[in-house]
Amino acid sequence: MPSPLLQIRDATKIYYSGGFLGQKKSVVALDNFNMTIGGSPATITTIAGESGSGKTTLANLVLGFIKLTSGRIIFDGEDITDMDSDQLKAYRRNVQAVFQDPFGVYNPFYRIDHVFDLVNRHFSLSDNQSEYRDMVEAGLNVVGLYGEDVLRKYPHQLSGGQRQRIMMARAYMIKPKLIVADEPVSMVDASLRASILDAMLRLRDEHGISFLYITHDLSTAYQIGDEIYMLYQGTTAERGTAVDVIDSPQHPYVQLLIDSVPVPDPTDKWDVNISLPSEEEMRTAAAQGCRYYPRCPHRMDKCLEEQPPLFMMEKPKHEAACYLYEEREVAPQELSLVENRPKSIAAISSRSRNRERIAAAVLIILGFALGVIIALNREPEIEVRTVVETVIVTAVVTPQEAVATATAMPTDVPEPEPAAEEVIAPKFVIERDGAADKGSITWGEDTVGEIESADDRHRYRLAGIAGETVGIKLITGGRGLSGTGFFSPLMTIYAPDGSIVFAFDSARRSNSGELTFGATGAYEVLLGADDRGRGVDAYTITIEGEKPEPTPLPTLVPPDFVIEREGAVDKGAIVLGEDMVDEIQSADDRHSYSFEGVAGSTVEIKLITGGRGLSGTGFFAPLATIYAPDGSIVFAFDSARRSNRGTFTFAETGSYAVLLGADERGRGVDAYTITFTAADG
Amino acid sequence: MSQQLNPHPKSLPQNEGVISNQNRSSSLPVEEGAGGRGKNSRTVLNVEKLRIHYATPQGDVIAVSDISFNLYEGETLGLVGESGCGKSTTAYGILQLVQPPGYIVNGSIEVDGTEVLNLDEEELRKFRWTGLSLIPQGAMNSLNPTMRVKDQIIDVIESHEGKQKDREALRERIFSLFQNVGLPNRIYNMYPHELSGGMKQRVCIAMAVALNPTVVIADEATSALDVVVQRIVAQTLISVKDDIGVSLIVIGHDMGLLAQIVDRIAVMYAGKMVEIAPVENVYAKPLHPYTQLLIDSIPSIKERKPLKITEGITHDPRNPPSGCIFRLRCPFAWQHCAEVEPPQIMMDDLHEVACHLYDEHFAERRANALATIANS
Repeated sequence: MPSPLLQIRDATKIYYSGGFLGQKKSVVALDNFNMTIGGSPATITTIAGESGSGKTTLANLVLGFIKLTSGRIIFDGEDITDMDSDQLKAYRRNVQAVFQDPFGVYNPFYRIDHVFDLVNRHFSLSDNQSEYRDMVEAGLNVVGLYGEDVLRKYPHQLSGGQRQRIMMARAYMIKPKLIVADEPVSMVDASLRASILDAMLRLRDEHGISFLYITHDLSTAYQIGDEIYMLYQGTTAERGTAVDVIDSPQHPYVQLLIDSVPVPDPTDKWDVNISLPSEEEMRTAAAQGCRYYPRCPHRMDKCLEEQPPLFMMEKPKHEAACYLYEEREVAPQELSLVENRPKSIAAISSRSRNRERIAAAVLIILGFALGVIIALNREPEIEVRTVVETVIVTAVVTPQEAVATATAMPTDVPEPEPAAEEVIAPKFVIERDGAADKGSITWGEDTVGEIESADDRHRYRLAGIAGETVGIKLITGGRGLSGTGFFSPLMTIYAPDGSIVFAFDSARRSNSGELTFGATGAYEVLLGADDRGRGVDAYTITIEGEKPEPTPLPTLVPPDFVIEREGAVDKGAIVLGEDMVDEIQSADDRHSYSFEGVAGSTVEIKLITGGRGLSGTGFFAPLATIYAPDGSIVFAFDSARRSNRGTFTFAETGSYAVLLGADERGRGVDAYTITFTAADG
Repeated sequence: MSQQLNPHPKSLPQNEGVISNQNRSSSLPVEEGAGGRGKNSRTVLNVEKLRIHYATPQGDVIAVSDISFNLYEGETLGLVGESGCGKSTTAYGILQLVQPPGYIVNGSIEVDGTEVLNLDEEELRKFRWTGLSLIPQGAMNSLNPTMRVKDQIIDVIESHEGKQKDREALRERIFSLFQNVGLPNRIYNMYPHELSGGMKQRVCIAMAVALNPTVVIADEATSALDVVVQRIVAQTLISVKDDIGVSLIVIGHDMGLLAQIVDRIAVMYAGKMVEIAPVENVYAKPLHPYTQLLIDSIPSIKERKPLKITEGITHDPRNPPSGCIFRLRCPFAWQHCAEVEPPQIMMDDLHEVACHLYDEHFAERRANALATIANS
């Protein structure tokens, strides 16, 4: 019997959030999950379930972006949690990923061939240029594309289907054994989906690559999937071959799910209306019993006692976790564990080998208890992840008035600082508190921001003078996306006109570079976890460069916006005092400004929209958004409100950012006037 | 019989482009309506020759190209097509929400006899949400994160009806809206982030119907939701439609969902309307080759069938091909398709299709094409 390609054993992933000491909230994303993917012949294993069922957590675990709370993931006989960096690199070569968003994974600045160049650089596929070109061409051909059609194009010039197939081609070039495909077709048009599914089938049948296919779309799983796991709140509700499970679902949840898939036949319409129980009822879900209990039409008292094990259905390998099938045999646990295992789990696995037919209840309790022990053993109280330092080159602007006032130039310091010579670096300190990241941002001696999790995003401004160059260095630690070739910004620099002029991503090998400012003005730096929130445990960002000449203080007058319509295009200017500081090319233009807020002082904000706004619709479409120094939104004007007038009192002293511009969907704003006036006091 | 559409009509005679194989009157008889719920209804929305361009430095992109269709009272019309085909732009055009650089080149949009394009700004503001309203795409992000649910709904009501003095009545009114869309009263004081995706979606539906509009347009209103929640939201839409008596346009790409909830389907391809028919017809006997492709590529959970791959060539939207817009991808295209733009041909059962195959002059070609389909 060939050894399995991937085995997941008693995998549990718990996310913690918020709270002091004992009051931490936890969410069990995956609960004692087991799965086996055989190596040969290659298969497509589907993981299906609604959002929150744990399917993306599973994908991220297998990709090594996040770590298990307890349990094991064994790939080709090796436990991935214990891999050193060389092994991890080899693992990355064997396990590749294709993500949902066929646009977000591409760096918009580079042509398509850059994707392949990155792969070649990282995995050293070939030094020989012509050999390398042949490899790229072969990869593209497998997915039905040709190099001359796509390689010199930018991502936005290709269809979603083409972009997704390029991701498949990229993965194929590395010759992995497994591709984790997380919703690869959900953002692609129906008539183009088949081409992606076909590429998956060809990679499976002609090139022996297995897939872990994560989806909520049962119909594609039915068309191409071999085995399917239906997840419900982190547990397997049912599994079997895709055809068996979808043709004759046994678990009440899976029955509802399959019944809810709209049938593309107008003569076969839904005959009953369904509803969900209220959230209160949902919350009564027992800690130990069946997760589906609150919604289940067949619930029994027994279901509250303990989680049902998987029972064997009529067809081979078809199993459902529901006490309706209690009279049937409990499915044997697949526990053919490998020899090469870490010490900490040796105790469980030696026991595991003999427990194949032990009653499920005992198994679960045992597993749970051991899981807890492992969790306790593994979790240090506080782990210092990293110390991050940022030197922002900045002109320190000292406002003369201690009132909030709009300015087109950055005013970076929270307190008026006379020493313009001194460059003060904000300092990022992120510590791990349990599974959640905790940290702070200090500026000089003062703490200016708190970091609640690695997902937190922070914005800062730096003054850029046209022609000046700064060096930027970004050091990522932990389990980034490095080596995946995917774009995921860790730091993005926006020019004063809102355009992106610099983007670092966690996939780049060397994260250092230079930025020469094209225009004088306030540049905005967004720091934070990557867009998909993945893969960033820790990072260090340092911006260094020549200290610029102190920027002359602009007269502190509110900017004046004048937008006129010229044909179908908006044209206009932003005037500060007498000077035109910016041009508006269209209503889509976004402009950001920062101004000094002093705790307790109040500004009056008046926004006049003209033209065909969303007025009267009640829908939200921000025209002016004010961000507090910590990046949180504290004020949002939208085009739907009738009276766009309000006062706003600053809770803390610091630099507030204002984003002005067309509404989120770019609709409906012909002209607007925004006036910030300092209120009394 | 066949008649070429003038791509830049100066005047907009009613239903000029629709011709009939049965020598029927070219304008749709009001009393016939669509099958099912739309039967014996009057027309509440009439879109004629609507054309919308996006200005770009390289020239205009034709987003919507002279499309015409009707919506009957109490009816649910599905508007389908792939992303970028102009279906959302059509919706925003109807609502006069096309953003620059987009602009309406020509057309007529009549709602209950009111020409929307002639309304001035103030009239339009009043008309929105009483005559026409929208459940936007990604509705979950269309709620102001800093306002409570009640305040957003009150905003909608008061922006049309002025300050409501009787706060208790206003509250009751909002509760009854909640009831219409199956939301519990306790969300009244909540912020959007405290609600689940399905609930936010239903808040948006409640806002859209708060002023009893004649026509509601739902733009991909359920596409970001899980299948069970999607079904609940779709049911909500239909039950609200029936309770309040609005007419509904559902824009979507999920052919399965549309089969469940709509009465008629209008299929768009690259800015053109290629087929409009009662829903049963579209699924049972799609006429336009693009609709056939669309129906063929619906993944099924009933039978496992071979994948049908059709990428085809997509044209440059600034420079569409001559003649038929679909001819570059069409398996049946011939010389005539490159020369003459197909008119909208009226078949039986209120089934309209824009394809030369259904011109009686080319009956033989049609027979061959049908034989090819039958054999494949």
